[in-house]
Formats: sequence, structure tokens, C-alpha cells
Amino acid sequence: MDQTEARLDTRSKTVELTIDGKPATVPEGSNVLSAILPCTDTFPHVCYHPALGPIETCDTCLAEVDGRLVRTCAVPVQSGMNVVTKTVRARYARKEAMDRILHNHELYCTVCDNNNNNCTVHNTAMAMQIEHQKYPFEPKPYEQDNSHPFYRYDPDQCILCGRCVEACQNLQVSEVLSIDWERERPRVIWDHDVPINESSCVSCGHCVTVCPCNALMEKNMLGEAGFLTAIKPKLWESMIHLTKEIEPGYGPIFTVSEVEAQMRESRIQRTKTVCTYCGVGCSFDIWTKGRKILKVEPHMESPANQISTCVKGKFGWDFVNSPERLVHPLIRRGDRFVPVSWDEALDYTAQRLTEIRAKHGADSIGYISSSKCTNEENYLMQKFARAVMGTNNIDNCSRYCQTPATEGMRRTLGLGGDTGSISDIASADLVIIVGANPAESHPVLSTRIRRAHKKYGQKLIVADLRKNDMAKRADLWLHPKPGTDLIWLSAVTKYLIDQGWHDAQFVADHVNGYAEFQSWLETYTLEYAEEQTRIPRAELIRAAEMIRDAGKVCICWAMGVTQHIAGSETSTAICNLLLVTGQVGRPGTGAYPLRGHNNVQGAGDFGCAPAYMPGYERVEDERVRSKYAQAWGVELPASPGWDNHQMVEKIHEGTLKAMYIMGEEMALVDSNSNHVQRAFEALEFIVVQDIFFSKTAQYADVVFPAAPSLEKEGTFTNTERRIQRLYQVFEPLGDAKPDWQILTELANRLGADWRYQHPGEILDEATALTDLMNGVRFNRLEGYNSLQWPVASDGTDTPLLYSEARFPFPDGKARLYIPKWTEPVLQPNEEYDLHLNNGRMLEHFHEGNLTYRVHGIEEKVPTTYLEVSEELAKQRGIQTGALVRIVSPYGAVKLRAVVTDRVSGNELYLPMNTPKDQEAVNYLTSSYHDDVTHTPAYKEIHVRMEILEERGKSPMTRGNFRLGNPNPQPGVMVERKWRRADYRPLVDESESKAATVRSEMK
Amino acid sequence: MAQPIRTIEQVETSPAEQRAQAIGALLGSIADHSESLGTLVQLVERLHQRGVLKMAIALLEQEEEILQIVVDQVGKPGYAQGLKNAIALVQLFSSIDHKTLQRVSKSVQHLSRLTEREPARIAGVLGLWRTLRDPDFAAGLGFMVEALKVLGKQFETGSQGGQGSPTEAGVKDGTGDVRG
Repeated sequence: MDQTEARLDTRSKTVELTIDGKPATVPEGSNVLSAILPCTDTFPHVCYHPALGPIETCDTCLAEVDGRLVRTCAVPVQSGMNVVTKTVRARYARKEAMDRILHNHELYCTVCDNNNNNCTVHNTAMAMQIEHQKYPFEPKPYEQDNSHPFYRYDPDQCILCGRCVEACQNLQVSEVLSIDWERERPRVIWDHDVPINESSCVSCGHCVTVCPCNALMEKNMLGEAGFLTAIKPKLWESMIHLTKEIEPGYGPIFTVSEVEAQMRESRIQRTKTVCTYCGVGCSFDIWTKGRKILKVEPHMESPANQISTCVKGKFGWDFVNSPERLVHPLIRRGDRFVPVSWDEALDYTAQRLTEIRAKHGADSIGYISSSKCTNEENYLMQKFARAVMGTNNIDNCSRYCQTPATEGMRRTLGLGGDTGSISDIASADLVIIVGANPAESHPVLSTRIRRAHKKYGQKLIVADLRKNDMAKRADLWLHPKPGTDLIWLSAVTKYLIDQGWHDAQFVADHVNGYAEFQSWLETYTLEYAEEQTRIPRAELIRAAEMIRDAGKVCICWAMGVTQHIAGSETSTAICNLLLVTGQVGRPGTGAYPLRGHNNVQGAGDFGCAPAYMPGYERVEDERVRSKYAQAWGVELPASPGWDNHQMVEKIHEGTLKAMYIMGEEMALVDSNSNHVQRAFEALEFIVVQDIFFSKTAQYADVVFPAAPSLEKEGTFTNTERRIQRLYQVFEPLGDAKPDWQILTELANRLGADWRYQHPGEILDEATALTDLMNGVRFNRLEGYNSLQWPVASDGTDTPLLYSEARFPFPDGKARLYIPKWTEPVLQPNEEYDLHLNNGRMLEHFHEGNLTYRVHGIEEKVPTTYLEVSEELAKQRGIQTGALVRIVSPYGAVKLRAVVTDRVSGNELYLPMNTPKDQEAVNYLTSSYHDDVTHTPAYKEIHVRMEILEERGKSPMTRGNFRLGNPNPQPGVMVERKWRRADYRPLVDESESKAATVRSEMK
Repeated sequence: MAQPIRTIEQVETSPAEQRAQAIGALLGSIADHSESLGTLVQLVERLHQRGVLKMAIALLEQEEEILQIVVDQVGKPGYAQGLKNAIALVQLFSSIDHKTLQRVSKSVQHLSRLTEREPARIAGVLGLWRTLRDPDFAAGLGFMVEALKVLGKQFETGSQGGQGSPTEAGVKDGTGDVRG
């Protein structure tokens, strides 16, 4: 258990001990090292990292504890302990440990790209005033591994601390890296010793981030970070040779390298930003030199992710410098788009919108905001629609994914947000994942589950059609018939109640509607559920038993639940289950719809919905409207507008005449693309605001070039309801502008008098008008500070909702809500005999407009592909690489297949991530939708497969992690190092034996 | 009624326009920094007069090649030894306490005065005995004996490879300055 986790568990309990003769008080459960560091921050500890906990490989943190020489990272504090760091024995041991490290590492700091004031090996050697190496550096008999597009491994510089291995095995838990301790010269290996790019490495970057030296480096740093690192190899080697030849000791060398490191600070900028690739909300520093991105560096203070990232967050940013970026406003003239000035584009747009409003009324124009844009931009978009243009026809893409989850929670619990934080999911006894693939869609959040499952015995149930990564790891994998989750969830709920395993007291004290609910449940017997869902009765009982046995349960869900015609109902069934078992309002419990985009939560929170003003205050409420009328100085439309689904239908009906689409690839990501695109063709006027010339832009009359997140300031709200600030890394490219500036300039041409100079002013205006986020202020979000709503006016936030079991209904009680079961539509039949599932893949985002423009990602995964089961492939006589046409009642796509055990039977899977028309899944999907929220039923689609070529080149190319073979290990396995004949223990013998036992038990 | 189109007319900026834009931006920058640029022009003029600029250009044009020659030369044993000595001297001076250095310096001054007068004569064994009892002589001799011992110890540890055992040399790290 690492320090942070220990703190969480033990809360305010403390222990008193003595460190170098002085009294110290530290939290119970801390290790001795954590107690020493506040007293002596230069105390060596090379392999220890707070995110990883003790791994005991480096021996540099040795001290005497009650007379015994021990590794302080591995010894928990005890009351009355006497810790002495300054004895000769301890000093000797630490110096010896560092000498052993330097045997494996050549100190050429001044010409090293990792010399940026944060190199652990450099800083430790300097703090220990190491002057000479007892064991001269000896190169290892291995070449550098440069095979991976984003990072390289240099065995010669590797000190074998195993941080990378621990991060890969037990934090990211992709289980790729290990140290082969039995070689004459040990080294880190990938899988079972293959080149990095041929391994199962998911490119998350954990290993590079935690490497304490330059053994693992981001390739973008090489030859770029230092002033002297870009020189030719021969000269570079000569300089290292000279340095070693004349060295009188490391002191002067360190001085020179310190000066050089300091000089680097003047040309390398480090700017905090928040990732835009999913709803987890990872934050990190981006290192840049001019417009070149050198690296992404996450920090322990990053509230959602600490040091974790995924491939997109760590390496996926080069699209900002793509030559294909839109850098001029464009106006459609005849058969082409013509670049024009901002004045011309804005004047023309204002004139056309004014004409259409005058001719057809304010409600003849629809406005689509963006879950990729900031809270401030979303606030302005809905303010533009309502206050400037006079309509509630405002929506955003959360309707394509998460609105049913919000609906389910609002019905039962009261608020439409995850009930706790990612740390609650990590500390649950049981996590249930329903219709979600967090390993690929919410990668960093999934690491917390995998870590808890592997290291701390957390149990995991996964209900999914696919045997995805989490399903393979699960203690119980449920494979329901598509679209039947409501039935098995309700059957398990009923079984829990029937067995008396529910929380009767919680229900009696805090929940309304139990009697009616129990009566509704009568239908949902295990037999009925088995028949309807095809999940064996024994598995349902097993699920109920696991819920019974868990003190703390979290349920995570996503599009596999919501993108059905009964998405809101199934979401409701999940919340009902949690209420019946009393699994909300306590740490480690709750409901977690995993928000898909970086600001899905914020786009809704800030009022981009037809019926809701910011803070989910209803537009029909006179009191709400008058509040905004007073603040904005205009009268507001009283009835809810059209959502994005209705807008498309209204175009076909002829009542919607124009659209303003900000940061949304609606032509490809709305379902039934042919239907949507035909609607766009019928519009009189379309404005598209984007950073690339998207498919949607092809239908536009005016295209505004916008700025991506790295080119602006503002805030995003992640899946934990956490509001975080992003800072500007670059100036906008060309004539591009941040969306908030474009909206402001257009609004002012349409009679508004907006004087916003900075997003901070917009946020403060928006939040002060809401109850939900009343205390959110820009200056409370500086640096890595964040706030989780609700936020009281004094700035107090709410990491955990419904604590003390108070629910935001008049009587403070939650509500069991009776969901309505609806059969899925478009089930396989004779003509369309296969079910088509769809979703994401790890490496790409959305339709891929960003990630296919990152060279390394495009190299690893150049295209989407169709997953076909082994049974179906055999039956149809096809192999991986076969070219197939998939036909639905709504359209067809053509692409190559991959035969895999991730899918089974007649269920296909098609990742949505492609910008190519001929492969895009939404040419197959329908316009059926959830009745309550109008979320399209993307997951309910039947198709047939026509074989064009039975075999061909696999679409999954070298470099795809799915082709690798992971090598799961308990961790770094330091006891194998200790067993080596050439290892002499530095700790006392009794401690050495105890440590071996401890390590082997891990 | 708009059909999808993909053609975007490229912005064609003529070379003359690009040049004019660049000149405009440059003039603006000059106006913003007129004072510092004036000083820079003076500096450039001096460097030009002394031929430094031409030399710098030649050096930069041949940067890596010249650096390679210098590094190769300096890396040869003789030069490397010289550099080592130079660094060792700097370290020596850095390590001496300035008060000690002052004392030694004063002693040297006193010694130099000795050359201006008749050398002292020691009359036989008894004279030597008397001299030994002189407190100043005894203090000086004590210092020299200690100095010779330290020197001897350095030769001894030097012959063991210069590492020193931790007990004697102490293991310096950031945790304190206590020697073992």
C-alpha cells in the first residue's frame, strides 16, 4: 500500500517517532522514508516513487531503524521508532548503493536530454556529493531499442531500478515490461523479449514518465531539450570521453550541467493543460520549444490521474501543428470555398442569420455546441442561442452518448453526475462494469480498477458483449443478449431482495417507492432473466453473491447501456440496484456513467441543452428566466427548444432552415449519416466552426477556423464533476481564434455588447448565476487546483455526493423509479443476420480527425477494422485480412476484417474511429432512439456481411499492441535480484530475510 | 440547398506580398525596440572594426569540425593532464580556508625579511637545545611535523586508488556533514 492509499485508509491517525534525534509525527501506515523526507528532502530514494510504493531495488534509502539497517521505503512507521540516518554504517551503505547504480549509468549530464532539473539519478548523485565511481561504468551488451515511434530504451543508461516495470505491471497493469534478472547483465524486456514496437505495449507512457534517468526517453526530447545534445554522434562521444578523461570528480561536472539545465528553462516552456481525449480529465504539463512539443509530463498533484496517461494524452498532440489545420475563415462560393478575412466572414454570417431569423423566426435556426470546447465556450454558445438569437434550440453531443445516464440518475438520486471520484472506484470492494470498455475508452480510469483488482483484491464483474481487456480480467464476465441489461440487472436486484441481502434499513430510512418497485420486480425472476438475456442462472446468482459479499460497490457504465432505445431505463435500473443495496453516499460506492469526451459533463452543466439553463435550471421556470433576463438584459424564450435529433428531423420537415455547428463532426458521428447528410443538403445556411476541414464542413456556407485546447485558456469538467483549468500553450495557428472569441465577435455583430477579454470573466459570470456551481471562480482553479460540483459560495466543493444519505429531493430521500422495458429494435433476422456492435479503440479519438494526424499513432494503427468471431469466420470461410461489405437497412461500409476471440458468434464489432466515408459505422446505424432523451440507438443494428475477398493483408499492422503477448508478473520481482550470486545485501541479515519473504508474498 | 464540396481555394500570397509583410513586421519591431537596437548597432560596429565578426562567422561555419579538433586535441594525454592540474589547482584554492591562507602568506612575508639580515647562528648542541626551547621555534616545528604526517597519509591513501575507506573519508551525502 503506498503512502497516499495509506492516508486514505487511516484518515487522521498518527504515529510519533524520532528521526535523527528529533521528534516527528506522521500518519499511521506511512513508511519510514515518508517520515524522513519532510525532515531531509535530499535523503536519497532512487527507486521509490509515491505512485508506485516501495519496490526495494536501489538500496539508496537505507537508514538505521532501532539499530537495524533497513530500506526505509519498505518499513512502516511504528510508534516510538528511533530512526537514524547519519550513522557511518548507513552512509556507507547508501554510498555503496549509489556506486552500484552508477556502474550501470554513464554520467554525461550536460549532453543528456534528460538534464532538466528533474533527473532523479543526477539530483541524487549531486545531493550525495558523489565525487568518484567505485565501480566504473560498464556498457551492457545490448543495442538501444528505437523501434517504438514515441519512446526509446537505452540499456546502457538503465540503472535497473524497475520503476518502469512496476508502473507497467501494477499501475497501468498492461503487464508488458519486466526485468530479466538472471542474465549476466540484466535489462528491461518487453513481453518475452521482443522489440518494443512488436510487444503488447499500449504506449501509455507510464514507464517513460517514472524512469528516474534517461534510459527511457520520449523521442521528441532527443536532440531537442539540451543546448549541446543535437551534435553529431562522433563529436558527442568525443566530448563524453574528454569529460571522463579530465574529470577530477563529479562536482565541477555537476556544476556545469546544473548551469546548462538552468539555461534550458529559458527556452523550454512547461504549461499545464487538461487532456481532451476522454472524460477522465487527466492534467499534465506540456513541454514545448517554440511550436514543437517535446513531451507531456503528468504530476502527482494532477487530481484525476496523478502520473498516469494513455497513448493519446501522452503522445497524441502533434495534430495542433498539422499543415491541414484551418487557418483562414472560408466562405462557400460556387463549387469551392474561398478564404476571406474575419470581418468578411463574420459580417456575412451575421447578415445571413439575421435574414433567416427575420424570414422564418428565431426557432428556424439550430445551434450545436461542443463537448470538446471549454465550459466558457459552451456557456457562450447557449447564451448566443438564447440571449442573442432568441431560441432554445441548443444542444451538444452528450445526447449521442450520456444523456440517458444523466436521466437515470436524476430520476433516482437527484443529480446528473458521477456520485463520487475515481479514487472511490479504486477503493471499492467490487466494481461492476456494464456496457463499457474503459481499458480503451477511459484508459487511465481503467488503470485504477486493474491495479485494485491485481494488488488489493478488488472484485470485478464485467457485463459486455465483447471479451474486452477488462472482461478477460474479470472475476465474472456476463455476456447478455444485446440490449437486455435492464433484465439481468433487475433480476439480480430482485434476487438480492428475495434472499434478504439488500440493505433494508437504508431503504427504509432513505428511499421512497420501495413497495411499488418490489411489486414491479415480480416479473424479473432468474428464469425469466436467463431466458431473455441468455445469461445462465448460476452466473446471475454468482453476481448477486458478489454484491452481497462486498461492503463497497461501484457500478460503471457507458454507451453499451445508453445507446439503446431503453438507455434511460437501463441507467435507471442500475441506480435502483445501488439504492436497494445502499451502495451510494459512502466512500468507495456509487454510480459512475463514464463520460466519453473531455467536457461532456461541462457542456450540459453550462446549459447547452434545449430545456436547461446552466446548472440544470429549467427554461420553463419563470423564476429562472427572470434571473437570466436580469443578468443578460434580454427577454428569454420560455419553451424548450429542439435537441440535435429533433433538429435533423425538423430540417427534413422543412421547419429548421439554418444551423451553427461548433466543434462537432455531426455528419459522421450522428447516427444514420446518410439521413443527416441529406438534411444538411437541405439547409439554407450552415456555419461550421472547427480546427480541421471536417466532413460536416463540406456542407457549410461559412467555416470559422477555431483553436484547439492547447491554443486557449478556460476550464473543462471531467466525469467526476471536477472543474479544471487549462492554460494556453501556443498562440492560435494562422488566423484561427479560440471559440469564445469567435462567438463574442459574432454576437457583437448581432447587437450584443459582450466585452469579455478573458475566459475567466465568462466563467465567473456563468457560475455566479447558478446554484450548483455558485462558488466556482477562475482564481480558485489556479494551477492544479480543481473543484467538484456542487460548489458552495464559499468555494467548498463536493467530491462525494449524497454523503449522510441526503438526496436533493424535497424530503431528502432517494426514489426507486420503475423503468420501462422495451425490446431492442433491429434484431438479427433472415435478411440481416448479424448484430453489429460498435465503439472505440484505444489509439484513436472519435472520428479520428485529430489522432490520424499524429504520425506515430497513424503508423501504429492506420485504419479501423471489423472484428469477426472465430466461429463466424470459419463458417464464412474468411481469414484476417478479408475484405467485406457490411450492409444495413440504412447504408453500407467496406473494410477489412480481423478474426478475434474478443467477439463471439454472430456479433461483429466495428470501431467508430475513422474519417473515411467507406468505413464509418454511422452509415449503418438507424434513427431509432431512446424515447426519453432521443439518444440514438447506435448499438441496436442488424447487418449482413458480403465477402469481397476471402483473404488479404491484415488491417492490424506491426506496432498494434493487440498483436503482442503480455508477460504478467507480480511486479519487479526484486527477490530475483537478491538471489543473484553477485548481489551482496546492504541491509542487516535479519532484514534481508524478512524483505525476501515480503517480496515473495507480493 | 448545398451539396458537399471539398475544394478550398488556396491563399496565394505573392513573393512580393510576403516580402512586404515581413518588412512591415520588422519595421514595427525596430520601432518598438529603438533604444536597445541603437546600442546593438554600436556594439556590432566595434566588433566589425576588430574583425571579430568575420572570425565568428568562420568559426560558426565550421562549428562542429572545429569543436571536434579542439576536443580531440584537448583529449590527448598531455593536455588532459594539464586540464586536470588546472581543475585540481582551482579545487585546492577553493578548499583552503582564507584565514589559514592569510597566516601562511604572513609567514612567507616574514620569511622574506630574513633574507635581508644576517642568518641566525646555532652554536653547537647546546645552542640547538636552546633554540628548541624557543616557543616560536617549537610551534613552527610542530606545524611542520603535522604537515609532513598529513602529506604522508595522502601518499598512503593515494596508493590505494584514491577512494579511501568510508570510515576515513566519510560518505558525503545531503543528510549532513558528520564525518565517520
